Amino acid sequence: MASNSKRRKILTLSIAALLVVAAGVAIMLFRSRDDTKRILVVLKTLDNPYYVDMKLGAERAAAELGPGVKAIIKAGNAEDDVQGQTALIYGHLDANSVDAISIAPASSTAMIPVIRRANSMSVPVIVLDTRLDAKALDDHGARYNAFIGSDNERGGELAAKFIGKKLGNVNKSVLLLEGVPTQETAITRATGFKRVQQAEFASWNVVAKTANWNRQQARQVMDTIIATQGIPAAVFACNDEMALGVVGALESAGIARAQWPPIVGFDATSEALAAVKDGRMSATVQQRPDRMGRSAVELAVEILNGGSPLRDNKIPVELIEQ
Amino acid sequence: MSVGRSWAVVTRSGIVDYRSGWLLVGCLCCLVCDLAVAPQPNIIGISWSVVRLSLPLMAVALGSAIVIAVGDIDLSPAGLISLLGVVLLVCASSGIPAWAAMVIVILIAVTVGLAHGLAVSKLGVPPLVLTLGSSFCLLGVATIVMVALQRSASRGASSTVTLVLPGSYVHSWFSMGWVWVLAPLTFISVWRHASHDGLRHLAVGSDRQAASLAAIPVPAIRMRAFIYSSALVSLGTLLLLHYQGGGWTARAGLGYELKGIAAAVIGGARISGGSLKPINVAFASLLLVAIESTTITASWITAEMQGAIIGALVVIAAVIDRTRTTHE
Amino acid sequence: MRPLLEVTNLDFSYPSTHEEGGLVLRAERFELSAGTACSLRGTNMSGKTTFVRMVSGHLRGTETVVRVDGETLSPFTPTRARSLGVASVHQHDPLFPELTIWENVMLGRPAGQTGLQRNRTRRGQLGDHLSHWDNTHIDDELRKLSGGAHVLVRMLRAVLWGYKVLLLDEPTIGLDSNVKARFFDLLFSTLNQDRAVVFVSHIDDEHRILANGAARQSIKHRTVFLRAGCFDLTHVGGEQ
Repeated sequence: MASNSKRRKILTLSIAALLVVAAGVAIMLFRSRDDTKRILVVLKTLDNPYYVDMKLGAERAAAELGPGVKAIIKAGNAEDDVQGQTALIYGHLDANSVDAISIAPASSTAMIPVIRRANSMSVPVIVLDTRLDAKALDDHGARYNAFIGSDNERGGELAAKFIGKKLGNVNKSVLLLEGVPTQETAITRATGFKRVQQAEFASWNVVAKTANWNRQQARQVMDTIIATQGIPAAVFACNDEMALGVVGALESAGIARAQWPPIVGFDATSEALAAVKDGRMSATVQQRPDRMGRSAVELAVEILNGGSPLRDNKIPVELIEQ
Repeated sequence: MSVGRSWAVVTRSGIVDYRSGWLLVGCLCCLVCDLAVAPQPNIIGISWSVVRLSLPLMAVALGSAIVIAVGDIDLSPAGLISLLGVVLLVCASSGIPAWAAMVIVILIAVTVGLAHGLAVSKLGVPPLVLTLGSSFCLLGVATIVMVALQRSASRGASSTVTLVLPGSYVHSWFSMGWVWVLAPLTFISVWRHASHDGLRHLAVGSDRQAASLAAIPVPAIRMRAFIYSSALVSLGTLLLLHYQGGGWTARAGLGYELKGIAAAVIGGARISGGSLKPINVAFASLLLVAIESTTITASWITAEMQGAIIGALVVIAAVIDRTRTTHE
Repeated sequence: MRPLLEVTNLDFSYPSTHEEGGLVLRAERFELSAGTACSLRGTNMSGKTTFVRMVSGHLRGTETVVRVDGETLSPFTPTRARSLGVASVHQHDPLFPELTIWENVMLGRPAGQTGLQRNRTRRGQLGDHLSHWDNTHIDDELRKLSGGAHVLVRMLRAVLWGYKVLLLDEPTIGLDSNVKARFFDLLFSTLNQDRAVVFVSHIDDEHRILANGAARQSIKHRTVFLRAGCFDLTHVGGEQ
């Protein structure tokens, strides 16, 4: 009969609802609150070994600081996944479940309203790796407590000088692969490179393209360039992922190693270091992502404990060559 | 038993049904999981956060559901959301007041919807291909404009160029976001359950040939569905912007079209058309966002697992629908 | 007394038969007065369905004019015919299985008949008609009904909104005796002195049932034969 099955359905539904509510009440009653300091570390993406290194650094720091400190490490889905990072931060802020936030922002501008929200909840903010746009910060009344990142401009300069040593000031084409255009690191590395280039190697024909920090995209760009303009005389990729993409393009095009241009990367991930060792890449600018990860946690704990660390922490970079 | 009778009346009218109940129980489950997992649970905060983020999804999902109910599909939200956000940035940079920018955004969305509708109904272009291509197109345009904005901002060319929307845009109209979704939701529910026009939309989705034979203006109705969908997407964009706090990127909309369709399917829309329950679509959006939020607060669930969970839900919902229809 | 239904210049041919030189349907005039049940009989392919389609506005001969209660059918569309009061039930009339019974019946509503109050009355009437069937409610989806019951829904969709002329084209195909009985019950319950019915069937028995039922309600019964596209108006067992 129809009404029996209806009754059964309503009953099942009500019982399920009641069970769920009961579980909720039980949890509420029996949980204990604790004093652990929770640091939310938000990275750009874990597809990039650079950030994996950063994550390991943060985990190690949290472990060393003992049971009173917990690092919650999350990331977006892509180097520029603003939506993902926003959802992560808002989610945790709304649940009131973190005490401090360390973020490597997916955009130097679009993340600012999120930072402002953290400010309004008195949650300290530490910025990693990529700076936030100063003017935008001012315009929107947001602030951060500390920054730690590499001297990216210097890194770009070192790369330009290295390539200059190899090529000299000749009229050849040099490929510059840039990162996500809204990110401060992309801008500063390119700026450093171009400054040295314009000052000392003005005859170079610099071809600037963006591959958004991504290995696949860099490979496609390099494929296109090989096909349309021929192999450039040198390549500076603003991160190792893109440099390795260039390597991949040259390999799959079957070009003999002797004809490869010098390729300079940035980050010094383990894969890149291996490539430098066996000669596929010529050099890479070493950052210390693990140190950044450590500082992400250590600085946060220092602020939570009432200290006031240095606002601007620049980590020097060096060029690792073969 | 008068409770039983009132329940019977409510379910008979078709506005809510057992699925609505199960969707809400699902949301409750997520809330309980949050409590178990979050270190210092703040129920009000979590619930409020879930509701706020589900609003833009609800808008987009309703649009998707309407188009699916007519028997077509609309994959354009990704590109459209990105483009509309960038248009707002351009408006803000040009000093246009907030309300005018909103009108511009809605007009652009309606135009895009109209273009889709005409192409599908008059030219017979398959909607899947059309809206997918359109999405890429709009995304490309959004990226070009965004990069141009960034270039001029970094060159310091103009002091008004902004890459983050000003407070006047973000706060003015949408601090009561739930009103902006409740109104269309009510309107669409009434349209679906009590109007002849809504009925004709479902007839077209149920059996296009039969509808044509029954003297229902099929091309006009298909076109209207696309216009409604894009208009709702513009509402979703404005709400998303409010939630974001004004930060935007050119790729902001990516993935939203699939989430919208997922919410529509979990809310009971049959992909073949002919079925639309706006309240269930709203509840399904709530559930999807609740799941996302639970997986966020649980530190051990990664973004990929989150995607897998939602994908599994969509498949389960589709299978349940299938077994129910074959039983009868 | 003016006839309820007047069709003049019933010349119609399908393109292919025209090439062969044969007209499908030819007649100068067809009339039906109110309070009549008309049995339309003839062999296969004699043009019965074509005739019905012409009266309902689906097909049009070059010079055909259809008048219902004095009003001309213009524009010559099914929608206009319905709003003039011509309802038709044909086995291929479209139904929507995913919509509910009520929604399917709603879709048969003639243009111009709006209003919540009227809808509520109709819902009540529909519910009454359906109460004779077990286990069905007007808000159930149509596909829950068997194929035979679909015919009844088509009938309800035609009669529930009122009609002046009802055209039934082989409505009982595939029905078992039970459903057939219900069909005729429904038909007779709607017949009255202000309406007319045209009933097409190749089953002699059904025409007898129609005649008997009409007689019970003091409705005139008339038989019309179609032979190879021409009306043969010799009267058999009826009166006009």
